[in-house]
Order: sequence, then C-alpha cells, then structure tokens
Amino acid sequence: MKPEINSLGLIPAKDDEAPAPEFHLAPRQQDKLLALPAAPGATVPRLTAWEQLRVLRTRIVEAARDRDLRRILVTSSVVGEGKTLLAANLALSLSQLEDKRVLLVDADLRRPSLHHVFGRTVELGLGDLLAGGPRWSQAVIPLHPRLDFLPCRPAAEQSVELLNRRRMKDLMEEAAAAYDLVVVDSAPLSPIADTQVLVRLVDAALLVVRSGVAPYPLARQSAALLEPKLLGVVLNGVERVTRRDYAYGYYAPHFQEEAGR
Amino acid sequence: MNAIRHRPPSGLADYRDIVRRRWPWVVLPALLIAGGGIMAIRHLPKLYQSETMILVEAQKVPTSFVQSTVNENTDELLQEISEEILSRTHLLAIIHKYGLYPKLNGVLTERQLAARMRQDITVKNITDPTDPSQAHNGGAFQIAYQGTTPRQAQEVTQDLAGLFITENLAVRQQQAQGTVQFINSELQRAKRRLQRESAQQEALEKQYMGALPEQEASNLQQLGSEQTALEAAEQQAARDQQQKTYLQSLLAALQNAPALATAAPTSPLDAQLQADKVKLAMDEQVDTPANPDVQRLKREIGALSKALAADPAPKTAPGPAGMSEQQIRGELATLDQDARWQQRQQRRISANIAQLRARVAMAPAVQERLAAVQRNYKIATDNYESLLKKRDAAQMAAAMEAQADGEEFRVVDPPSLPQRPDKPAVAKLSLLAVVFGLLVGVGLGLAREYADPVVRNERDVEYYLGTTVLAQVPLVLAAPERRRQLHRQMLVGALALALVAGAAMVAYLHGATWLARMGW
Repeated sequence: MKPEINSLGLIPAKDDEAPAPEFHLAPRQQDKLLALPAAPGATVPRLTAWEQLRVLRTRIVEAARDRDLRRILVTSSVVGEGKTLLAANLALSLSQLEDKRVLLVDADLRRPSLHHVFGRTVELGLGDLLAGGPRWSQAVIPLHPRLDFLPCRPAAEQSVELLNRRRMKDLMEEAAAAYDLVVVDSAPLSPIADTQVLVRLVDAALLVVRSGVAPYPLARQSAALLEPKLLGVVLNGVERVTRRDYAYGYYAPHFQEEAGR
Repeated sequence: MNAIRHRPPSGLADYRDIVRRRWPWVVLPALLIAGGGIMAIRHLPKLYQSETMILVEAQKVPTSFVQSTVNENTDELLQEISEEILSRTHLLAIIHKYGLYPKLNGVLTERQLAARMRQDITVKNITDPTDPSQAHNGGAFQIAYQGTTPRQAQEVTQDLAGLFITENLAVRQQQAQGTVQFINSELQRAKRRLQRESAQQEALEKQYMGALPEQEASNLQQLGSEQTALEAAEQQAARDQQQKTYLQSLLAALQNAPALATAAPTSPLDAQLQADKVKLAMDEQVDTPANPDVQRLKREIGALSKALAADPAPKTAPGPAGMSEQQIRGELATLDQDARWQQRQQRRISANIAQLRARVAMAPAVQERLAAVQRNYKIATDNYESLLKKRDAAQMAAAMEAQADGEEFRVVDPPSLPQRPDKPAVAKLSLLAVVFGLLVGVGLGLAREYADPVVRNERDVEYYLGTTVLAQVPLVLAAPERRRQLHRQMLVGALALALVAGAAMVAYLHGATWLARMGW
C-alpha cells in the first residue's frame, strides 16, 4: 500500500552562507585558502578541495546538533600532513555559515605557523597568555566578522607545562562560551606530548592523515590516543582526483558558476 | 600495540591505484629489459639449419648365413658413432676447415669451441616402422647443423654425413675384429683348461687302475675264482694231511711190528685182515681192550680169519700195507713238498683276494671322483667346441664387414640448402623479453609498494585505523608547483629514455657476444 504523504508547506531555497571574506594576501597564500571560492579557471583538485571542505563542515555541524561540540582539535600523526592548512580552511569554511562565530587557535607552541597562512605577524600569542599575560581577547586577531584568530609565538621549551596550566583550561572554556566553534590547531601527536594534553580540553578531535605520507602504524597509534574524542579522519593530499572520483562532473557547471562569483 | 599486516589489495580500484603510483617502477625496468633484450635478439647472428636423412641399410649377406657381430640397435649405434664424430678432434677439424665461429675463435678455448659446435649439431633417430623403405632395413636418422650461412650449413652437414658413413664402416670393422680377437683369446683359455682337465682325468685313471668302475665286474669275477681256488687248495691240503697221517701211522706200525712188514698179503681179505691187525695194534697202544673200537676190530679180525681159512686161495697183488718203509718215507717226503707248495699257493691266493676286495670296496669313491673329473672335462670340451664354432662365425662376420657387406649408412636425402634462417626466433624471444621485463617490473613495483607502509586512501583508513573518513581533500598544487612537478616528470622521462637507449645500445654492441658466452 502506498503511504500517503501530506505536504506541509514549501521551504524556499536559502543559501545560509555569508559572502566570502576578503583577505589581502599574496597569490601564493591565497592559493592555500581552499575554503575560499576558487578563481575562474581553477583546477579540478582545487574545486574538489573546496567541495570537500564544505562536506567536512556539514558533517561537523551535523555532529554538533547531537551533542555539545564547540572545541575541535585538529592534529596529525607526524609533521607535514597539512593539519595547519586544514585547520585554517575548516575555520574559514565554518565562519562562512551565517550563524557561526568561529575562533581559530594556534596551539602548536613548538612550531606555530597559522599566522603565515593569513600573512599576519604575532605580537601577542597563546604562549604569552598562558604565561600570565593580558586577557586572551587582547591577543585575538579578527580576520573576519565571524572569524577570529588567536596566534601563537614559539615556546617549545615549556610547551607541555604551559598547556597543562589551569589557565589553558579556563581559556578554552571562555572561548567556547564566547564562540560557536573553536578550532584548535595543534602539534602532531608523534613524538611529542603537547597534543595529548590538549585532547583533554576539547570536545572532539579531527585526525588529519596525509595520503602517502602518514605511516599506518603511527596513524593507528594516533587514532587510539584520540579516542573517544575522535570525530573522524580527514584524508588529506589525495593525489589522484578526477571528475569521476567525486562525481564532480555532474556539478561542474554549478562549481564553475560559484568559482566565478 | 600489535604489528598490523599490510592491507592486501581488495579490488580493482586498489590495483588501479597501485599501477598509478608504481607505474614507473614497472615500466622502466620493463622497457630496459625488453628494449635491451629485443635489440640483442635482433643483433643475434642468423642461423640456418641444413638437414640430411640417412638410411641404415641391412647387411647384404643373409643373416641366416652370416650373423653380424656388430651392435644392431640403431639408437646405440648412433650413440656410439656420435660420440666418436662429435669428439673434439673431429669438430675442430671441421671448424678450421670452414672457419666456423670466427668471433669466438680467440675468446673460447678449443674445448669450448667444440662444445659450442656440438650445440649446433643434432643427430636424431627418425626410424619409422610404418615406412616401407625402412621396414626391411635398420631404420633411419637425421643429421642437422646450424650455420651462419645457408651454404656453410649445407657443407658442414655434408661433411658430418660423410663422417657418419665412414665412421660406421670403421666402427663395424673394428667391432668385428675385436670380437674375433676376443673369441680367440677365450679359445686359448678354453684350450688350456681342456688340457688341464684331460691330464687330471688321466692321472686319476692311472692312480686307480684296477679299481675303476668299469673293472668292478671283472674284479668280482676274479675274486670268485680266487676264492674257489683257495677252497680247492685247502681241500687238497687236507687230503694230503690225511694221507700223510695215514702213511705216518703205517710207518709207525711197521716199526713196531716188523713181521707185518715181511708177510705180504695174498688176497684182499688177507690185506684187510693185515690192515685191521695193524690198526688194532695201534689202537691197543692207546686204548684199553674194553674200548668198543678195539672190540669191533677184534670181531672183524676174527670174522676175516674165519673167512680166509675157509677160502685160502687165490693169492692176488699186495695193498698199501704191502709198501715198504722206504716207499712210505718217499711218499711222506713228496707229501711234505706238496704241502709247502700248497701253503705258498694259499698265501698268494689270499693276497689276491684281499687286493680284489679292497678294489671292490673303493670302487664307489673312485667312481665319484672320476665322475667329477669327467664332468669338468666334458664342460671344458663343450666350451672349447662352442668357442670354435663362434670363432668361425666371427671370422666370417669380420670378413663380411671387411668387404663392406654388412649394415651400412646410405644418404637418402642430401643436405638441404636452407632458404630462411632457423634461429633466432625473433618474435618468440622478443615476446619472452617483454614478458620477463614486465615480470621484473611488476615484481619491483610490488616490492616498492609493500616496502612503503603508509595510509593512502579511504580503504586504508578503515582497515588500519578502524574509523571513518569525514572528507578527502585532494592535493592542490599552486601554478609554480605544478610547473616544477611537470619539469621533474619531464626530467625523469628523459633520463628513463636515455637509460633505455643506452641499454639498447650496449645490448646491440655486446649482446650477441654475451649471449653466445651464455650458450645461446
């Protein structure tokens, strides 16, 4: 028997994304911000990356509906897997949602590099705040009306001690209260202990695994360390991308249109 | 944490990804090996094969008259002749005659050169029992040689065929002569043995002469005769002894009653009476008068006396008792002489009997020994006679081979002049080189893949990490990076091409020599 379905009403199509922020960056840096709409004539990987970041954003937002998920840690097994760029792009992508205010925190006290992505210089960073500096809001750099950035200056010698301070926990709680989402970029899990401290302070963790780079024994170990807060894995740097791989061809006109906007 | 195994490819997509990642590892070795191999194969000297068919003809003299002493099995014969013809000496002569293998002449030793040529020669038994032309003969075989030119291949094959024909005759003659020599030497040995057995038999017969089995009957007969003679002699001796006793008693009676000696009896009754009286006189000397014999004699004497009184006449010739003492003594001497002769005769006969009995007793043992000796002698004789027959047959077979009337080889198909090269099989070898190159490439690619324990795709994440992939962000290269990557790829491609070209060039220049050294 065919079920009877009643129409309750029509929902008008609505794009909940705000206009993309404008950054005055060098072209090379601009290329790294994959969450930004691609320029006309962009390559298939570039367009696919943009789409995949939107997929990731959607999954995080969906996960946040079911539980309290405000602080998201982005980490990897080893150096060079692209976690910093992914954290930047994820924050950027999330900030494009109209109802989300996002704080991007550079918590890699050993080799902070997020500020390079946005072409900023750091005068006051996370390490200074943890060492007893001014209020954290003074160190935050607004990148966009819904995206703030808490940079970091290198403090490799005391990184674990600083992150273990009560101040760090307070700071994370305050940030969670002040923003809808806090994206924390951290050092890799191997071979240092910084990130294991941070795992306790966040609600969820994303493990960035770079295709062809991450040794699976270490990736497996990292996944085990992040449990039970591991939200999932972002496979980064997938080499071979074709239209068929992501059914991109079907949406190509739409992508091209958006890319040209 | 437990060690985790490398995820095996689980589908077409995995294999496709491996190929995409590792294709240079597959393609470059495959190109190098296949390219180099093909160049070397194309540069290999062309080899032309010439073939000739040789029929093994049956011997001309019927086998019912002369049986050949040479090996008739075609396979074994070919084996034997081939070993001789394919010897270093023969092959080097051909190599020098036609200037074969000029490139290897200074490289390989003579032994290696001969071995190299042996690889180019094929001798194959192609006997076909269903072929009527071969049915009445000893079969057929094929000789083939691979040379660098058609003419050279044909000429060398021709020489090889000639060698096979002449060598066959030589081998056959040699074998026949060898058989004769062998049988001769065996015959000499058999003769010596026969002589030895004959001498042994003669010695044995001489040793046991008289006791031989065939003399047993005469021995038994002679033994019977001797026993009869012995009994006769013993009886004669007994009679003589009785006569001697009688004469001695008579002589004693004469000495005791001399009157008896003077009164001569006048009739038989008188003689009986005198004898009884003599006997009575003798008995009375030893017995009592009451003895029955004495009493009987007295009664007989009384009866005889009465009868004699009633008839006193006539008076006849005198009896023994009428012999004189001298006559009795002469008679006794004769009896003694006879008794001695009889004793000698008895001893002789007894000795003969003992000897004959001994001979009869040993007859079975002599017969056994003699039988053994005779058996050996017969064996030796049979062997000698058999060898004599064989020698005659072998001499006849040798004569047949010497006249080339035995089994011989005849060329049925003359050596062919090949029209196209037989080797190398360029297509086949090239395909092999490509397949080998691909196998090596695939092996290297797989080795590289398994030596790289990294996460590559969504399936790896699920397998190794047991979690889900939220997103797959592709590798995005900026324009300068793309240009650098393109330059790198071009450089690698150019290097690979140069490598392949270099390998091909080396293979072209030296491949043939290397392959030849490897025995190709």
